[in-house]
Amino acid sequence: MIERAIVDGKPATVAYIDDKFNPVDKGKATLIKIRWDDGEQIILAASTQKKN
Amino acid sequence: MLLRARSIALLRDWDESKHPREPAGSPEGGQFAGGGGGGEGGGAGDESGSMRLVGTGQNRERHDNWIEDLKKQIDNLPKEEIGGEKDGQLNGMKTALELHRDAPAKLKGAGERSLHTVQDGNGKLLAAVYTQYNSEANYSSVESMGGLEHAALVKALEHMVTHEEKDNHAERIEMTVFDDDKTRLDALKEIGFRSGAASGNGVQVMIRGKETTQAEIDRAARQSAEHSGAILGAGQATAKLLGYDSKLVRVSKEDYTFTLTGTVRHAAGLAHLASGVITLYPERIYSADAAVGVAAHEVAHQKYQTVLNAVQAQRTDMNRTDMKEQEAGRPPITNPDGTLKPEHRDLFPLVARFEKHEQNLDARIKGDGVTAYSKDYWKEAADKGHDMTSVRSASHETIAEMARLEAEREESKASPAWKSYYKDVMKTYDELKRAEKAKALYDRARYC
Repeated sequence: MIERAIVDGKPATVAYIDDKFNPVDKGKATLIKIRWDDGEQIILAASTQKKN
Repeated sequence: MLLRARSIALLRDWDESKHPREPAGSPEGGQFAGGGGGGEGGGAGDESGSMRLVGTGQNRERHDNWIEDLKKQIDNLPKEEIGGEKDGQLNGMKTALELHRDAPAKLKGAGERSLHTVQDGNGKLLAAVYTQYNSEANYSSVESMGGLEHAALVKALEHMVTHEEKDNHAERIEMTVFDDDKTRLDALKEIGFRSGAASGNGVQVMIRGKETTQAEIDRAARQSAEHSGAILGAGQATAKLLGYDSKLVRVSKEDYTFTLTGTVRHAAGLAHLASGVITLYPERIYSADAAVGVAAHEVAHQKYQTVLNAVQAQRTDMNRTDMKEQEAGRPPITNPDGTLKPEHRDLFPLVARFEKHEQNLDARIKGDGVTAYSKDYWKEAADKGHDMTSVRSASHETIAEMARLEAEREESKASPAWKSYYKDVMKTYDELKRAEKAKALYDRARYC
């Protein structure tokens, strides 16, 4: 799923995806991609746990 | 043999004067006579019943008899005691004996599977503890235990601890126990076990020794290094496949945090637009699939933005030239619709190349992305009336998805308009990089 949000004070599109970049519900996401309207972007790990 | 030696050593600590031994006896302990008062298995006056003798499971016949005896005791438990404390202890002892009986002889011989029993002077089993030693991680786990009396269970555990710590050199001994299993928890606590970090959800992981053994620390570091290597390999291979300098793909152990709607999140991938460096964070990327996807997206965004910037720069030049030409009284270099006149196309090749794609924007919008992921962005763009920002975002994500599919060698179901656009973006990036390299070589030669 993707949603609009203000992230870091700037408007952005936030996508919740799995390892194969399929859109998934927030709870099932492994990755989160934030794309700001100004073109900046970052990919975050959805889990707050470290890979051991 | 070590186990037996330890057992014998413990037996030496016994005050034999308090437990006079008759000559005849079993190989492990023998028969006792005289001494203290009555105990489990021994009636009043039967002083051998107070003896407590530790063993290590060498006598197969005795163990088989104990298993049968325990089965009978369990079967004969009164209805109200089924599932109760005594049932639990009897079953714990029976399982310990059975696990040891069925364990590979080689591991038993090496002391890596061990049984520690306590019996009274009449040969009645009072407690049994079965342990597995994990040599790779250098810890031992109590797999099953039970005791009919606290002191006997503690004695069997003490015997087990001596074996695991002195013979196996285990850095941790652990046992998982239900929160309400007071008998086992009390016995474990008495000999220095404590609740470990893994406790929770109704169970206590009782540990003695180190929470994490050196072997576990080393293994985690090894796995982390292997994982990091795999993520870097996947990322660099993706970059190479997509015609991007693989040396620009790096991994980092740094924890790059970012707060998203109140939750601290950790970066999995980051592109540094100015330097072209793509950083992957292996501790936050759990699979090669994710590494390929993240790297492909980052590479594609870098390439696409580089191309968009170059086309825009050339367009600005073109507009300036057009204006100057008209100010000088010469004919414009562009047609009324803004396209380049054929005779000037060579002057602004990128503008010329992408003119057809600008005209094809509607066809690409109708193409509606190539994957479920990029289609979501086009839906959002549609909701926003296809404004410039949303179309640019959706285009970026579609190009990124096409790059990901290319890296994964999956067939792209993109429309011809998208395939043609993607091809020209990638081709233009390669030309720009070649030109950049040639310029760097020229500059070097010029100033040397």
